[in-house]
Amino acid sequence: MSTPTSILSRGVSVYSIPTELLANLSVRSIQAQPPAEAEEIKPKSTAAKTAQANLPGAAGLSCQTCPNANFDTVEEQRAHFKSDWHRYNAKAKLAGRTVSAEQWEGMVEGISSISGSDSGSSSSSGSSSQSKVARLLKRQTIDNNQNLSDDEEALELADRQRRAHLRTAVIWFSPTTSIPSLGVPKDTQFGVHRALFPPFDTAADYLTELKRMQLSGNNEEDGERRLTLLMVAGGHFAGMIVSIKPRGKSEKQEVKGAGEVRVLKHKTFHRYTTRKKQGGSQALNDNAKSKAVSAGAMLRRYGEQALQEEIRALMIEWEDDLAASERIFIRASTHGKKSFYGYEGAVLSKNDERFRTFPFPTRRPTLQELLRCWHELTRMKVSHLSEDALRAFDEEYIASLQPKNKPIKPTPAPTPAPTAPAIPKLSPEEEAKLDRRKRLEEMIRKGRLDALKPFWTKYQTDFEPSEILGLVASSVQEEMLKYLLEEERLDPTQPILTSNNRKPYELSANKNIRNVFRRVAHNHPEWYDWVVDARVPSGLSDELEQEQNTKKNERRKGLKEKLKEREKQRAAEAEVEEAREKEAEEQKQKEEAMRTTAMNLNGNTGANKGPQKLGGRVGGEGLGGMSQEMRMQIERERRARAAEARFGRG
Amino acid sequence: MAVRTQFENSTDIGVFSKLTNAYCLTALASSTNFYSVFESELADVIPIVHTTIGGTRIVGRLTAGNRHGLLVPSTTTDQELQHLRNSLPPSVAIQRIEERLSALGNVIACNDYVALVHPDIDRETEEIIADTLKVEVFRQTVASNVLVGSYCALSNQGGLVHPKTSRSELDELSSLLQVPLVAGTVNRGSEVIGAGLVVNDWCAFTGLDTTATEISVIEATFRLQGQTSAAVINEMRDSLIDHYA
Repeated sequence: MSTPTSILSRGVSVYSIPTELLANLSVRSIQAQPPAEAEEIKPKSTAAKTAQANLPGAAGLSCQTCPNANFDTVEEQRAHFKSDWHRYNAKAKLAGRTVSAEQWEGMVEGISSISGSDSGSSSSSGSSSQSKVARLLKRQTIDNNQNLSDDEEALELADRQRRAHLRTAVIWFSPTTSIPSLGVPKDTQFGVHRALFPPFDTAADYLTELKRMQLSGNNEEDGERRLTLLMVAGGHFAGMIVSIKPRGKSEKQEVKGAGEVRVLKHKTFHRYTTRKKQGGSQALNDNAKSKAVSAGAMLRRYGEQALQEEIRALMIEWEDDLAASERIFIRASTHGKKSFYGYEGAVLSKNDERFRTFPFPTRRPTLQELLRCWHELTRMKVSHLSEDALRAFDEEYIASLQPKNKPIKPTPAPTPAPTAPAIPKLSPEEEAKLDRRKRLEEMIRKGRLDALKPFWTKYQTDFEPSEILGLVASSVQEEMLKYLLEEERLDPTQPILTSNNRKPYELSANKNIRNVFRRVAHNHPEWYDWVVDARVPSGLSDELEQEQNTKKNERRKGLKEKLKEREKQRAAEAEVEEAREKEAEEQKQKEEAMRTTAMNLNGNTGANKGPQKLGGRVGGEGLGGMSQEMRMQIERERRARAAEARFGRG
Repeated sequence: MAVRTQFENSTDIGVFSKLTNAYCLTALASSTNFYSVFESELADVIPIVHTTIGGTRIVGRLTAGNRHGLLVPSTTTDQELQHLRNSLPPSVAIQRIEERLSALGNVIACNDYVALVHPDIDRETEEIIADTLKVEVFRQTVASNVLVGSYCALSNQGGLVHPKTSRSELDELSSLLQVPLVAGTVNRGSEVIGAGLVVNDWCAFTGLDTTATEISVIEATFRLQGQTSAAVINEMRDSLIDHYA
């Protein structure tokens, strides 16, 4: 049951985000970073270039490896070539980066345990200094994010970020401030599938597009907007054209379980195409080996062809809707895609920009699966992560990306970091608040009035009264509602923002709950304007209730009597029926008796008594020992008797 | 004096021989032609040792040495080590090195005073090099190549390095080595100097493909004809630099 508590507890459609939230959203995470990062890099890189350009200009002694290393004497230079700094740079240069003297100093300070090495006497610096260089090099390779000392390094990072940005399946938005009216704390992220957007390069475009995507509220315009979902796999096809606008309450729903989804058209069919136990399509097998000639192969070949034809016919039938669709989601194998485009007279063209694949695994193509995918695609994902946790995720994710040129190791593909939020981290107050909300919701759901009373007196400032009333009303907790209305005097006239500004009364789940409101309204008409503000249609006095009860009882009594009468009538009819049946029975018995007497006349007295043996022997006379002629004679006589008996009856 | 020779039809003689001021190593070949060339030049001056290293003939690439010592890789067998010990003068220290980069000739370039080594070489190896060869060791690259032994040939008189070594790098290296350096080629344009040329303080052997110009550069660089290294710049300018091309 959906509770009208916070916007987060219900699924929020991507196409109808509350305006307060939409106004506060900003694109976050990796997507937002690259432009800023790039600007940061540029001046740095040019600075490095100019520095390098200046370097060889020095006429005296210098070091080619280390930036800005110039010497007055050969001894100094030779000493430098033995220093750790130079040794580090000699290795680092191969990796395409070097560090300046200042940076080197900083790095050395970062490593604490190198007291023994003085760069002046190289021979005594010994293995500790060597290991220092090694350690630094290792460290350098590990967190290459921090030391953007070189062009290539920075470019590589930027490239990774760009790719990270390209590869996440979900675009994350987060509100700039908390929105108490919607119950959205600050550290909340909303995820929207990238597939719903056109391909953008800059992060800001996603936000403008998200705003543009919202339903306008104009019925005609919104009614035209639709998405198409098509799946074909293993001989199953499922297709659906869905209007982005949700279904109104009054409209008829023809798809079972679709809920608020306004399914405009849908179709599924199945053909036998997959090779049982071996898998794969028949066409693939035919191409791989020679054409199989088994009966099954023929059937499957036909099935494939038929499926393709059916899909193509359907595409033609749906042509207008397909043309009006904003996005067309397709799940199909390479072979299966031929059903949709790439043939003569195809409705869709191969390069259609609206095509998307489902950015998540899907199961067998069924209408239910299509609905699930629809919800998955169009509902915003919600996560609660603090800034630090998010940054950690981002860095981890970027680091996990392979450099472009290197062969990809067979490690499991990195999951996009924000899509798999681990433990939500919030500020302590907000966490406590969320926790309290959860506890309160549970109390209400389970009807624990005793627990709720002290809890409410303590923390009532945390909650929106009308919202809580709505929650109680929709969870059918009469006692609790009465307590909250009468003792706590919660105001039922305030609109509940999270459920279309409805009033608590309107969220009542059944009549008993509504009666609670009405009773309170009757007892305390002076508290609020019940009828107008709280939308409670009328008060319910005890007398009125009694009257209603008596009326109901009467009606019930009347009904009972009617029922009894009907019962009686039925009993009478049954009697008549019984009498008729008896008569029929007697008639039958008479006939039976006549038949037996006829039989007896023919001298077959013993034949009808007891179990009758079939064939071979009649009336105790054995035919077994007789000759053929005798047997035939007796047989003939028997038939004649039977005929006589029949005639006698007729 | 520079002599052109080849090893069984290969001009990369630096791969199959090692020449220092105190000894010469040559690979075992089917004929003694190769050995004979060295013998005709060096006989009675320094010992010339026929040997294999770890059963292979690429002795020049696997070993490094100068007049103070000889370094051999860990693949060298005890028999080979014994043979070398017996053949070389007692003043030459022989040391077997446990080093990941086992082609010592490729990762070490040295004369009797200075050694350039691969930047990734072990610290311990570096110390052994310094102790055995009695040299100062510098981790360096030559024209951005880490295989310093392959891309340069050094003697106490001079050095020939990879043709793409920049001027500033030449200056830096020569101030490090304290010998004049020239960037050049051997074997008709091969940039793998170490493979095409073996040299000591008084003679050099180059691949059979080496051109006359290359020979004259080599002789001038290593002062094999009593010239000064300035000859490379002054006397050979015309043949080296193609004006108005």
